[in-house]
Amino acid sequence: MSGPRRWLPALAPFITLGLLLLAWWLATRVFGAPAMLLPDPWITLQGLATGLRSGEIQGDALATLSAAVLGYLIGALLAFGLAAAMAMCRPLERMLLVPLMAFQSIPKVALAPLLYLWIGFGMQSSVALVALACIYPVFVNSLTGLRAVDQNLVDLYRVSGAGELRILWSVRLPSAAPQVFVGLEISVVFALLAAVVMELVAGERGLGVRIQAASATLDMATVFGAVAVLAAIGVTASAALRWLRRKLLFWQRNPAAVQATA
Amino acid sequence: MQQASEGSAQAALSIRKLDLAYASSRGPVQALLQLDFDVEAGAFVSVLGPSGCGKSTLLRLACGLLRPSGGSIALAGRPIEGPRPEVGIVFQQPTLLPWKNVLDNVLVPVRARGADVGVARLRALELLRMVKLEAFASHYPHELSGGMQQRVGIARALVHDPALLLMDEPFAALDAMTRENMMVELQRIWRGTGKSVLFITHSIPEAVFLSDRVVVMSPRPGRVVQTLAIDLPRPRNIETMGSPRFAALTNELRQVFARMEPA
Repeated sequence: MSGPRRWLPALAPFITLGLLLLAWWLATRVFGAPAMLLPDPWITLQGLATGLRSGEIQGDALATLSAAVLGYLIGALLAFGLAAAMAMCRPLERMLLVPLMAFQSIPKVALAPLLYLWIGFGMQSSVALVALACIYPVFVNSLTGLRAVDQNLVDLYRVSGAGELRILWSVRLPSAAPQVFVGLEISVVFALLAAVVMELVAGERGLGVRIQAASATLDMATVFGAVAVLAAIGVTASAALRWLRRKLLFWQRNPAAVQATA
Repeated sequence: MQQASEGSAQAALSIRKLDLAYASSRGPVQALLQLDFDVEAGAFVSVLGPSGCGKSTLLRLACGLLRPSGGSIALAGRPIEGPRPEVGIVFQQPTLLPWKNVLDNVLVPVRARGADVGVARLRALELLRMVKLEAFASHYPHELSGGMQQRVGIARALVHDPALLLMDEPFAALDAMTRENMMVELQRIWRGTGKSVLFITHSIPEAVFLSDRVVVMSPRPGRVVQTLAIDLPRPRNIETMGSPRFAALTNELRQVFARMEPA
């Protein structure tokens, strides 16, 4: 009785995916989209398999992923440190909040050519761009979370004789964690985006380099294969983060109640 | 006169000509004006007043988070100049840490001070027994009802053995039935521990049921309008609330509020 009702909802996203694949296949086979622009799903899959067998895709994926993960960690740590310092020190907030918000209005990918000139070719500039792209979402959500702490809890610790550092560690950080995670989840997407953009501008290797090289020779199967791998990385990373959040923030019954600040 | 000064030396909390003014965006605000009363050692004193009478401000003064702008407020004869370990606080909301279980929540005041938890753990378990939650020591707050959470809050306020318990409308967020049970429970706990209590409320029956003395405050600027000794015999129970004396006392307090100008 409860069987199909239980697994059908879990299957729903895959039905959408299947329908999209069908539409893709129809577009190439029935409506005759030129294979030079849109290869059919089967050819794409074969291209992906060839790339995987030669190990090229794994190598490129690893390069992109390393830059994205390293930049993400650096950006998130910087952002969180900044938010914690500003939450503890009002003058610092007054000095930095407006400049940081102005910084957010710059599309970070526009800095890619500049970073290439400053830092040079290859991974280090990818890491830098990813870090820049990840800073703001983590920063602003952390600050919101750290500020929204229950004042009574803080008072309770103060009355018990606790210092500001202990309050930060025992009350502010755990209270802010759900909001910090919102920022971390938003930044995952930005991290991949920034890593690929930097590779398009000045990459040595990586999925972005692969996409650009293949487009230059109109090798659409390779382009689509690389995009599929990027999508898989993005989806997996987001899911892993959600899993981590559920494990760490076990007391949260309604994560949807946490509003994203961006 | 002699007797009065002796009495104040023994008081758990003594408040003398206490003023509190602060600057707001609309100019200076006189929150408390010439407040004057005591909480004798072991006594249960309620501060009763409408919202905006500075009850919560008084509580922040008593726990050392605010300084008076005039007069004095002293714990066991020593002026309050900052947070002191002799007070325990119960808030209107349970204010528990959702990521800590019940026992660890009760231990918060001990850990916050950086003190050793060893002996305190036994005391915390004993307090959980007293608030009838010994079976829930390893549960998390979200697994408890509002009344149970508030009882954890009471146990937490007592864990470091304070002489004075400050309670800020602790039952205001509970439903009516839970509230009456909690009043009876609090009386039992108070009689069992012998603590002095400063209980802040805007409920007349709650104040009459629990207190030895009720201090009525007026809205801003908060000052003492009347003090009423409650001579109902203890232990009081649900039936007490139906007694003629209870009705007479609550009525007397209602009259005081009726005479007060609207805020």
